[in-house]
Amino acid sequence: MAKINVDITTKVDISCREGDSFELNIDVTNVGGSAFDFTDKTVLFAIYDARKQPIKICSNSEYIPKFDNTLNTVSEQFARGLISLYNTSSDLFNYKNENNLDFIYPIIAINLAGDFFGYKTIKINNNSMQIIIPSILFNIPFGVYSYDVKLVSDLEDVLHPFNAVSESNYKNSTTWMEGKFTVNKN
Amino acid sequence: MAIKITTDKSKKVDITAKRLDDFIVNLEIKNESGNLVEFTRDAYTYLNKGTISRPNKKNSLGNEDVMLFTITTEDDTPVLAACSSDLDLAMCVNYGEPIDAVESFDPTKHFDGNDSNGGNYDYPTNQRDFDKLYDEFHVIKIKAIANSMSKASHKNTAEEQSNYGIKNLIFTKLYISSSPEAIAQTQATTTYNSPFIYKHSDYRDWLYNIFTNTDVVKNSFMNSELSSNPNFTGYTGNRYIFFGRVEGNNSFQIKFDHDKFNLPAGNYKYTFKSLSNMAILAVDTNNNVITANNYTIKHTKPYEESYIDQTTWIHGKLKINE
Repeated sequence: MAKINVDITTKVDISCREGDSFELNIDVTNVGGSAFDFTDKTVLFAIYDARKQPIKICSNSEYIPKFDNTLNTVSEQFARGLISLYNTSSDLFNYKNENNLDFIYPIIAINLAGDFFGYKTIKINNNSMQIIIPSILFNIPFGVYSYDVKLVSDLEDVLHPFNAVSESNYKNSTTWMEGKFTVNKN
Repeated sequence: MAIKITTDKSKKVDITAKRLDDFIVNLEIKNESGNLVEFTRDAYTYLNKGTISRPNKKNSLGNEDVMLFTITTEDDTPVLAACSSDLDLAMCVNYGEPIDAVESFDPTKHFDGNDSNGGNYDYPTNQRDFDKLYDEFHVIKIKAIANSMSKASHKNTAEEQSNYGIKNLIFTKLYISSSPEAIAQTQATTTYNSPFIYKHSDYRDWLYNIFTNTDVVKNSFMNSELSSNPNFTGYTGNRYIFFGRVEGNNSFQIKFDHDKFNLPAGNYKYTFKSLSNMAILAVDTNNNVITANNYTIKHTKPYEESYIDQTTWIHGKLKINE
């Protein structure tokens, strides 16, 4: 019997050290070895707990909500897109608490062209991407988790009755990598 | 079968030492290619009795890689530490200098080993004076290192964490040198800067907690003169957990003098880390955020000073023989 596999996910188990900065370089090319075109695409690196709930999401996106209470419609759309993609709750992002000075983003939301710590958490180069999480944000206790790396694009609002936007979805999503994510005890 | 990769750079090296002997360990850190890792260090010679040498710039905030060697008990309580940065000793940099003269500080003037002008830190009376003279950079740096230590301590309760500087401590307003909290103390026509900690018990407690590993010292300090006598003259030596020092720049030499290497014989753990890219957050008198060194921690509350990056290079067991 013929079999067709459209799952291109590479299984890679990652280990790192608790409390240290995390840095991972991943080469990305097309099948023929040519540079992959990241134009208009978003890379998402998510770490999940045992219940498969994301506890950390990193991205090369410029639209992740910032920590300085400034939200705009684009970043709200981005947050809604993540909620749909990861099938999780808006509470995890807290992105609606714009006027609450005590708000935090439990899931980090790492931005952005130099605006947060001067770091982009995922940097894209021609044939590679770098995932860089400074230790001050990498506050995951030691233990075994899981992770995946997704490539998404074409984020669109979903209109519900009365043209109210209640969710946003990525039209395209591909999982590139996944596996165990082990945080060694410091 | 999944491919396995690790970003954990730490090598495991177990150390055995003898109690109350000089503890001297040389460590060299190489990358995957076998080349020495480069660190940004501030040239610094530790303050020693009779041999005084230190750079003009007391605290190289921001770009300096702080090397931290921490000994912990089996349950991850830090009990002894060595640091490459001039933590407590840095406190003396303002000694005898007016606020606006910090930048022109003459390193030879007050570190010449002469008891009479405060140049000898080993002299208890001078320690008393030095310890009153924190400025904002001392506090920022010490708190940043304390915060880094607290995150690695695996302590969960507020009480446990309080020793390492993260319990209800908002220092931000204290960093403003022109703050009305700065008090003027006239001595030989010199205005002293920023004895905030000396004046405010919460901050004072915090600072002494992070450097104190004996309750006896702390309690005697608190119960004797501090609360009532602004010219407290208590003996302040031998109270810090930062008894040791890290010298050199890859290779590094970790040193504890024999009289400071006084932990009970037994089994401990240690880590050797670099702390990089200190973030500073301060607010001006209108609560506007001001920054230094291009690094700012932007989460809204609580404000915090810490190092953005940390790498553990070496860790292992430390067995101390009787």
